[in-house]
Amino acid sequence: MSERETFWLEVLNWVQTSLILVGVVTFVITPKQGKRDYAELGIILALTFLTEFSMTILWYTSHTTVNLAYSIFNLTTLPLFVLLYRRRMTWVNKDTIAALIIVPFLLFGLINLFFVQGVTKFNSYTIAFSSVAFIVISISYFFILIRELPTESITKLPMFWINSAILIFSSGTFVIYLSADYLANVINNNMIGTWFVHNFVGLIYYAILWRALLLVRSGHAKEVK
Amino acid sequence: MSNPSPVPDYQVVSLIVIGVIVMLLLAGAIVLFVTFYQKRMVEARLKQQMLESQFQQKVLEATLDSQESERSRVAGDLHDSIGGMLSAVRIGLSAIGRQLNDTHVLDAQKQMLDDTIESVRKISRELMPATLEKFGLIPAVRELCEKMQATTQIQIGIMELGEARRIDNRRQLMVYRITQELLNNAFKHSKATYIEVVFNFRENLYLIVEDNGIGMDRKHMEESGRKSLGLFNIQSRVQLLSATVTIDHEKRDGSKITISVPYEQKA
Repeated sequence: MSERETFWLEVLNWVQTSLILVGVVTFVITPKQGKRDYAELGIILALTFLTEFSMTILWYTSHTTVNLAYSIFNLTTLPLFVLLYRRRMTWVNKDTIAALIIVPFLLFGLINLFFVQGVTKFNSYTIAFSSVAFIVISISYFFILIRELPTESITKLPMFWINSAILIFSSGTFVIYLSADYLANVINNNMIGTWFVHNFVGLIYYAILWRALLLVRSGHAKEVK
Repeated sequence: MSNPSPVPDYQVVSLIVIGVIVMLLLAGAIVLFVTFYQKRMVEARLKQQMLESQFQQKVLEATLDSQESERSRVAGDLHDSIGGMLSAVRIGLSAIGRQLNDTHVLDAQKQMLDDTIESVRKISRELMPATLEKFGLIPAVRELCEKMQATTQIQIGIMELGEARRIDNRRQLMVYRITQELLNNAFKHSKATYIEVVFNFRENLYLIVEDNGIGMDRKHMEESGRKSLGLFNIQSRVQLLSATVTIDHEKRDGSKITISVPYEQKA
């Protein structure tokens, strides 16, 4: 890894972490009702910030990567987002659907964590699994949004932006997670290029999430639950 | 460490980057598609709602027009046909009376016939006031107020403010009907001793009907508004005139209704 590459990757990483912190702060200063409506998003952002920040600090101090913490964090993201979506669905069997996504995912993630990729390695299969689930969920949500037309302008709905962010991030990073194991363990690639792309997509993701949080905060949208 | 892949690293990474870009473009395209499609759907829905409302407006217009033309026809028939025939019968009775020695019985019949002729004329006038066509809105309403005052013993004042402007016959008739209905309501429900009708010609025509009666209970009005034919007729006409109704619920004694009518139909 050249110094120049490392420098730019670190810059991108810091920018991304800062953007997450901005998101957390925006959530904290959001009125109570907004916080209640989007509690899961707040938890996800806080967890993301803590994970990213602690991982960065550990990297600088001991040059170690805490894969276990990252893997556990990734096990929480999909269930939390599914709960956020569940609150906005009008379907009768939404609980069953949520359980059908969360339970197999957690089972897969735990088996992968303890028996397949292991606790010391980056659990790329689990994240690839969650990316596919996210893509399916976000496209389904768009379908529902078009069918139900809850408002004259869906761009005023925070959930539209959250869903767009999830779709863009999951689609963009899916290929990376799918090939991560091959890159790292088969061809021993340092993955600097792919992580660069990953962090760049992450920037777009957190910027869009921030836009959603601003909408929640300003109370622009009247969500139809 | 050796590289077991037959494909060079940079090619693999390039392929992944291309894959990421393709997936990002697809995701972006989906987001854009949803945004534009939703806009089109909303536009289509609004257009459909507008067409439905226009259709309802047309139906309402046609219903009220046919009601008015039917009233006009019945009024004409009563006045010209039945009224004419009754007048002819009266002339006949008078002729017979001149040939009889004792006209006492006949006089009573003649009086009854005169009353019938007067009733027919009255009904005919109420159905379609000739004054409205001949002299316009204010004289017609003045005539209406005078007649109502004579029959109900309630004082009615009529006031005209501003410079009177011409309104087309159809709108004039609708304003007349609204006034008639508001006065009827005041007589029936308000227990008022005085009613004032004001026509204020400003940027719009403001028709104000105010009384010193028991006032209007908002809840009761909302409930009766759904059932009362009179209120329905007022609402229908107000809608067709693109007018607005303001009810002064703060007024302590009596009630005050203001209807703002544009002089011309809005496009």
